Amino acid sequence: METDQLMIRRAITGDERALRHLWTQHAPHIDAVVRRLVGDSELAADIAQDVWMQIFRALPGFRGEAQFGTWAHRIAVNRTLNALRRSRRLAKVEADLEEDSAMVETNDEAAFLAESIDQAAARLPPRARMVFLLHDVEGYTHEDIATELGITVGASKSQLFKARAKLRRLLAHYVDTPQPARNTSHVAS
Amino acid sequence: MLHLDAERLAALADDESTATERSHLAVCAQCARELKAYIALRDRAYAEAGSTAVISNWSKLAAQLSAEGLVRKTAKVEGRERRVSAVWWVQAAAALFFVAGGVTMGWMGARASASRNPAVATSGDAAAGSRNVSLVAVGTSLTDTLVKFASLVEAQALLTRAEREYRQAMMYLATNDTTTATFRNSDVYRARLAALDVMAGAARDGVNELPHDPIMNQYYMSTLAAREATLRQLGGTLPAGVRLTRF
Repeated sequence: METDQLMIRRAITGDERALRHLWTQHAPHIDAVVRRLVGDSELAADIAQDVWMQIFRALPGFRGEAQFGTWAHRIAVNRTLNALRRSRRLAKVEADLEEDSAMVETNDEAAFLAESIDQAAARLPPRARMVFLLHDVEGYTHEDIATELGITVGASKSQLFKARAKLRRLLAHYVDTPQPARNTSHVAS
Repeated sequence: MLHLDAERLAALADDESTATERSHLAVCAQCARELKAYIALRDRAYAEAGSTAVISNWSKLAAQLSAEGLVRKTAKVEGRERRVSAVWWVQAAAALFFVAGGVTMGWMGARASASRNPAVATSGDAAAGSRNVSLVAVGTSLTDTLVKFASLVEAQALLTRAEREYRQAMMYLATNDTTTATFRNSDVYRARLAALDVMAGAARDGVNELPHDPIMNQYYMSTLAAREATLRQLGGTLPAGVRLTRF
């Protein structure tokens, strides 16, 4: 965007109005990325502040090879994942959680129908949720996700498909018409 | 064939199905419907990547940017925003641009006038110089008192001296000025150096093309001076004991 290029040049020199303009234009999207990945709104607001500071600090390194929004989005995801790691959320998941067992639903969950994808995603185990958000919402490839989360491409795919399977049930009313009872007797294992 | 399991159907929202799976999907309405639902789920998820309410706070950001030296302070004075701490090198660059721009206009104006009017051209440098002087005066009269020159030689001598003093002032300020805002983040200086390298390259090409042209030479020398000053500033952002070898 032409205006972005001009604003970026001015922002690099410390022009407060240009910095504010960039924030005003892109905060709705960047903050949304942070909020989705973090979930918790209070923590998300803190991380969003940190993300924006990182974007502004890195601004002189912006070469214009991608749109500013795309470049800032990448910083937002990286910074948010780092912040989550620091807050031990992902670390705990990576160390302790057995994702397969976490996919087993409780009776409560079996009756739960989410009202939105965000709400449904909040019911996923942390890593599956992160993979789903990065892949299906943010548009990352499995290779990118594997790098970001320190997992294999296969693990990323596996987590995604499990996440989708669970979301599909939670969001049944959202994505299709009422389903006929599924005959599970001949489902492939 | 047995029905496709949920995770396989979820995968098929992205992946290519096998021939066997395709055959099954062609005849099994239940699996085909499920696959369609997974594709719809994927598409809805992507559509949700839109914007939501802003959760970051500009006031806090502005305060932090200011604390880190990444922003120039602005203040509203009598309803109009006025910069309260202009950075010296911006002023210097603006002054250079203004003076050099005025000189260039004068030089080009004199050349154009001479080419349009043979009488002027044949009347020698004095007429062209006269035209040159008047345009330089227009260029500088907005900020300075009118400067009159008796000859081209006098004007060129002043220009050379001003350019030399400008470079010396830049270097002095880069080394000694601690009163104006400086960037703690070395990336700012690295980015400026990269831009100055491009400018210096363009000016160098101009000098190679027109080796005796004073405008080209002055732009080139001034760019190098700004580059040297920035290198010093960059050096000042590095931790003690760290020596700058490249940027």
